[in-house]
Amino acid sequence: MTKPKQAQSHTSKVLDALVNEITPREQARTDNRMLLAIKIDDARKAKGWTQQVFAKEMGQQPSVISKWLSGTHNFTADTMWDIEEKLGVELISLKEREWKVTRVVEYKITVQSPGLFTTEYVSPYTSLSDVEENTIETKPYKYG
Amino acid sequence: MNFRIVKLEKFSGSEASIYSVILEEDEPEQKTLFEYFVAENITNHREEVRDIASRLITIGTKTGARDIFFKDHEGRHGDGVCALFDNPDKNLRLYCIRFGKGILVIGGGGHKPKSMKAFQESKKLTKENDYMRIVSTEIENRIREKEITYSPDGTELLGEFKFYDHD
Repeated sequence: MTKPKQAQSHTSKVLDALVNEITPREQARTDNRMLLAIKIDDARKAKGWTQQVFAKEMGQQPSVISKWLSGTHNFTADTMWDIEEKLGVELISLKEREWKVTRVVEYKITVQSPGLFTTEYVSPYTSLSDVEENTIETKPYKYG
Repeated sequence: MNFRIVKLEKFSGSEASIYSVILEEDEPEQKTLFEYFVAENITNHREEVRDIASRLITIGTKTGARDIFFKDHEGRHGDGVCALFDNPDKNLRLYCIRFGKGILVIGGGGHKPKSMKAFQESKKLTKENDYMRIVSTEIENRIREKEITYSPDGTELLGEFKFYDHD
């Protein structure tokens, strides 16, 4: 039995030039929009909702939902949060956006013993970011 | 109408194979309907053509030809012809035929202003739509007669791709 043949491959300068015009960044953006549309549509199906029901739940016209799912839509954050709430799917992860908070704390310890001497200890740390977590330890201080 | 189906490697990938059509009259130039579409629109609608090409790459390599990316019933009911979704602010229409998620045949199309209610108002769009309806019918016939089959993973057509009535 002969193996069924594949269609002939076709390439051309016109198509090569067209594809070469698309930057990796543009392609990644298209990929993300279309993958996001699939994620939303899969969540809609998991809910057992038709597109009409989804439109009603979102307070939108069915034509708006078609556009959302077309892979061409540039969603606002508010719309994505609304969709997350209705479909119970995570579209924006804020966990990935933890920003580093640097607080400058000056440690100043004054030990006084009236009548004998006065000394002052100033921490070498000027910021919590200077030290790694759990590395601050109390060192015995020898009175001078 | 005599034609053959060819696979566009630039757009095809692990998720879908993307094919187009070479009419017999275009054999000397070896130009597909999609290449005519590009040539006819690249000057006046460059961004839209680039966007369409980018979406075809995503379909071939990342997502497959999911139904949500297309507008169905772009020809007569049940003829299998659809169109790649066009944004409300865009004007180009590209006619396609889907065979599941893994196979997409793209043809030509053209400019369809939003003021135009039906493609039949444009001679150009009607002609391009007619081509794809014929292609759809012919492929369906060959699938029915098992002269064309699907690959096991559904991302490839296998068989005889020349549709010449004089052969």
